[in-house]
Amino acid sequence: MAYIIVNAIAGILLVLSLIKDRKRTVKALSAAWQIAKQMVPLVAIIWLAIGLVIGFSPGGSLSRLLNSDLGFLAIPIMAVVGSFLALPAPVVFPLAASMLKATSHAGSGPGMVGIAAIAALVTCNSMVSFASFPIEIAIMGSRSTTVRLVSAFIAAVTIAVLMGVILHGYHA
Amino acid sequence: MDTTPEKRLMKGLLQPKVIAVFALATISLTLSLIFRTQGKKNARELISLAEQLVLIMPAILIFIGLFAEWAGADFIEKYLGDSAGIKGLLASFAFPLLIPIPLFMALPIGNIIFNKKARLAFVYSFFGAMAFSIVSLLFEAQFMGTLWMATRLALSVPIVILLCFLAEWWYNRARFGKPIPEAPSTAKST
Repeated sequence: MAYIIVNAIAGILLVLSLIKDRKRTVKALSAAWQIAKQMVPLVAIIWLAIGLVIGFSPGGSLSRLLNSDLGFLAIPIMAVVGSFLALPAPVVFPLAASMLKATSHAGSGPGMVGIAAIAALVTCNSMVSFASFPIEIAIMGSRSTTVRLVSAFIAAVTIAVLMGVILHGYHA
Repeated sequence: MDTTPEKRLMKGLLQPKVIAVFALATISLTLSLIFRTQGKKNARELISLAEQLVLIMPAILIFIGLFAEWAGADFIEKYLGDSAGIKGLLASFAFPLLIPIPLFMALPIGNIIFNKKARLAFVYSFFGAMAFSIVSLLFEAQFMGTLWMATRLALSVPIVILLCFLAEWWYNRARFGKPIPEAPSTAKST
């Protein structure tokens, strides 16, 4: 449904643009086509990479990873995993919620490290998105890509650790 | 350069690493189909993801093309330029908040606004704000609870803003790698 609305809006804007100025609309479409040429093969790769990750069913193995006494190491591991995953929101939050449940022991919620590790998965997944780095290098150049990925990673881990401190013992 | 787009597409798809990823994905999906009951669910998820991408890509590409052509450099410079100040931050946060698109689809828009004299820090805050679009916040509140969502949002906003300016400072001093390329439409005309 949302896609129909988005496509309808795009269509309406396109018609408005056509009415206003035909030449500029053609230019706009050719710019869109150039971006498409650049992105379609890369999007295909990302799609397959996500398939690879889903194929290995990260839910169960990640929860197992969290429960095996890793200590503080769990945070960087989850951060790196999250950075590579690039899962969409409807996939990542149910996954994180199931991990939150799996790590909660009866009575007390998960500890500081558990919360921070799950938060690291969520924040790195939405902010770093290492999976799309071939696209980012093609479109934004390698210098900007490096700068942004490193800064986003630092930011994501900082947020995750602070969440662990604030929310320890949290139940979903 | 002089080959057709179709040929370039094929060349891009036939690179060894692409084939390797494809093969690995196929093998892992097959294995999960054989050994786990989850296999069918995984395949379904992958297909629905492809559907989403295919359905939303044309619209997003048209948006980007129209935006590149119609959004004037003056307009961008006013709201996202060096002198925009707090207005620039608000403007760069507003778009991702309202329109949820994956980060990799936002990248071309980032390139376009940068080439129309947007401040780099605002380009980064635009990318950073993709992490808290309204749709993903709703999912987060539903599955993780409102307190979790609110805490992450309250921590993310200041930290993302701070890091954007630090990243801009770093980019301006860095000497490695390639700088940000020109936007596709302007690159063609010169």
